[in-house]
Amino acid sequence: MRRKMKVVDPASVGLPLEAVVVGNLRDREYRKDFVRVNLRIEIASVVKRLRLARGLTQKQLAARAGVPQSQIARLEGLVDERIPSLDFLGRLFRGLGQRAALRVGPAGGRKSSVCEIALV
Amino acid sequence: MGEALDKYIHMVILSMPSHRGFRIVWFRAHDGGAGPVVKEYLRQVHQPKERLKIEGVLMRVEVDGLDAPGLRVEKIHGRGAVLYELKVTAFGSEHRFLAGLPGVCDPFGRPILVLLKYVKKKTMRLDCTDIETAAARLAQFGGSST
Repeated sequence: MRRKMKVVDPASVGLPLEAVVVGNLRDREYRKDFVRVNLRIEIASVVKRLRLARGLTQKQLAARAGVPQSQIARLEGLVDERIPSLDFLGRLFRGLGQRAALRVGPAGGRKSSVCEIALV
Repeated sequence: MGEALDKYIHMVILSMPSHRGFRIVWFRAHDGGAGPVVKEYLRQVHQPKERLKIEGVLMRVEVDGLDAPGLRVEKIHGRGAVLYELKVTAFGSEHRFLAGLPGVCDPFGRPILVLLKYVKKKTMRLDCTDIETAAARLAQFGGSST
């Protein structure tokens, strides 16, 4: 349980995390992969949080979804650099009993793109 | 997150509500500037792909807390302070941050987690001087975490 804490402006305590991220976004290579890498992390996060919320171990989820436990461990540990396949995600979300939508494509500006996963 | 981000990237993440997240800040001395941890981190981590993953995981810690994917955590006791060793593996290298909770929160109620020291893995065990440095920096906030 969290104790009652003194409220402060984070900038008064240190340099906010996003200050470094925004600085790095000036780098073309960093910017190019930003959406892809963060989508991968987001997918892993959603799967892990749903699994924990349902009280399932990786092994139990693997049995429900019909996928190897090692693949779930690799997904949650961000071992692979690729975004998981739709087939694999479909099995996982079926095993979790949860619908999810993945939306990708341009988002207005010429340089913008959208990548999102939403629970539905 | 800032104009630079808005300009190039439109990324909507509809996350589940979480009350486990932290507000992460990099330690900096009272005289301002970027701070020693950021300098050390940027000096040692050159590859944009490595930075992307490390910072992506840290951003998830702000939402998921210490359950964030790709993160391994160890609790360390040193010099009377409780520190957290946050470990992220990116492209074959292990990156470690020593972090602490100074016992304050942001206006949204998230505890502030301060990154006190960056260490690129060289050995299995952490160097005592790294722990001492992190503990001394945490002490500058007037206390230690629990």
